[in-house]
Amino acid sequence: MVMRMEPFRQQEFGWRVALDFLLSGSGSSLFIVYFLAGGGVSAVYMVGPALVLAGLAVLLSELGRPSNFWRSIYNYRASWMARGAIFNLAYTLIWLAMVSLYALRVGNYFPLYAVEFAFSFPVLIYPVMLLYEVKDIKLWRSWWTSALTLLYAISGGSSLGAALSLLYRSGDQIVYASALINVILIVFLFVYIQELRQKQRVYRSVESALREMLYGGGRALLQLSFSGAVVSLAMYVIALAIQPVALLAVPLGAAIDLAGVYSFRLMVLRLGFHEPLVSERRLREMAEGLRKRSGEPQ
Amino acid sequence: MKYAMVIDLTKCVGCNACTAACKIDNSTGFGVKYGQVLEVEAGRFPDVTKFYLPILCMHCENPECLKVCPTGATFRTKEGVVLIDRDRCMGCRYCVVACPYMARYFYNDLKRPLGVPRMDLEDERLGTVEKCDFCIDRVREGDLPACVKACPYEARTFGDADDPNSRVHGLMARAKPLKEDEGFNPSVYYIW
Repeated sequence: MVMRMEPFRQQEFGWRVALDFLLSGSGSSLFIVYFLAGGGVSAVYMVGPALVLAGLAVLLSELGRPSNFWRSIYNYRASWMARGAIFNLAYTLIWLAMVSLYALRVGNYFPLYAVEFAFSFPVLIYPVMLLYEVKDIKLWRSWWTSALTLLYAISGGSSLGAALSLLYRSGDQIVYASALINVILIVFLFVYIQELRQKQRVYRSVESALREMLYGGGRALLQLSFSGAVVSLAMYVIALAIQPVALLAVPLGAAIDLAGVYSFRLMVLRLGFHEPLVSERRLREMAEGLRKRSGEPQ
Repeated sequence: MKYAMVIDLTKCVGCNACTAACKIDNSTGFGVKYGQVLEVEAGRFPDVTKFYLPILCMHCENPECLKVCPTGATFRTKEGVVLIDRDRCMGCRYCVVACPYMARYFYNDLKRPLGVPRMDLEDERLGTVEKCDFCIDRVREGDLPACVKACPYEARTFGDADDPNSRVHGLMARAKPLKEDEGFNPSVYYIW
């Protein structure tokens, strides 16, 4: 007897939210990685905050009406979505100041870079905290998911940094960093899946999606969350090993990595499952009760 | 006073009169249903049971949506009805995601297909979350919720659960809510 109702997945946070997370996470981590690596090209510093601004625009379109943005700012104490809106806005304003100074070629940029660097951290972590806040969804309310989300954001930013650093010929230490981050990411992803399986906290649907991601054969190419990290790592290794012939592999690897980061964001959102409306035991009771009573006069 | 609803699954034939009445009464937009009727199949041929499961906001005593609402827009009245203050809702949709009964909807222009016009009330609902409110305005005037009135088989019973003389109080003795083990204490019960 099949007595099972499928768990239902949330459908409210979809591709636009994933895009916001991708842009905010990659933009802010690009700034962090480039700042820490001591990259000296000002134009690269402008790219990260521009991505965060694009993320802010996506977030605004998600809120449904412009007044909601201001309302969310007034409620900054209450949620990470509201804090995210504030951080993104502040980040964008500092960026505008940076762009103005850069265009006018006046003043010392460094203090503004330092402030923007400091603001990059809350912009980086707000998507993680936003998911963690919805405690009803077990997969989101997990430190493992949060850590992996953060790691993916850093991976996206560093990949972008690697591609840009080659474009501006500012050394290949960011490519090395990206390759290292991808190695950590792949190891972490394996541990994450094992951890989830061991704890038996995931539902069957989540488990099958993860299995498909790992062992899906041809379809694994579509499941870029995992394969994206592996392929881009291979690209970075090739690029570093056969310089300068294969340097074009870096932007290609970065593009694949970013697609993987987006794919992971989307996957985590789509795997936001609730328990089935009716449990197996209750469904059995209902079916038996209804069958028994179907012959009774109404 | 605590309002509750009991739905007798043995009487529900899945006609969706309740869904239509709710849509008309609340002027809900495209694809928005505050109440819906799910078709459930259990078993394997030839031993199959098919039944209809009406779903709406369960007006939980311990609602998840209220806990995650960052602005306090979601609140519970002393009659036990969970309502939304549209003027305080900031459209974050935490409640939509957190609701374990899929009972909330977010009004967003991006969801509506091209060419489908907005309903009259959608302008003011835009960017906010809405859901079943047990037709509280009608109920306060002594009427019944639209879905209860529309049901041709009287599968739905609505009333004060605290009143020992009410019909709903009597039915609740042999009814059970959905997800009763999760501690939400819903106000909608089912008989099967």
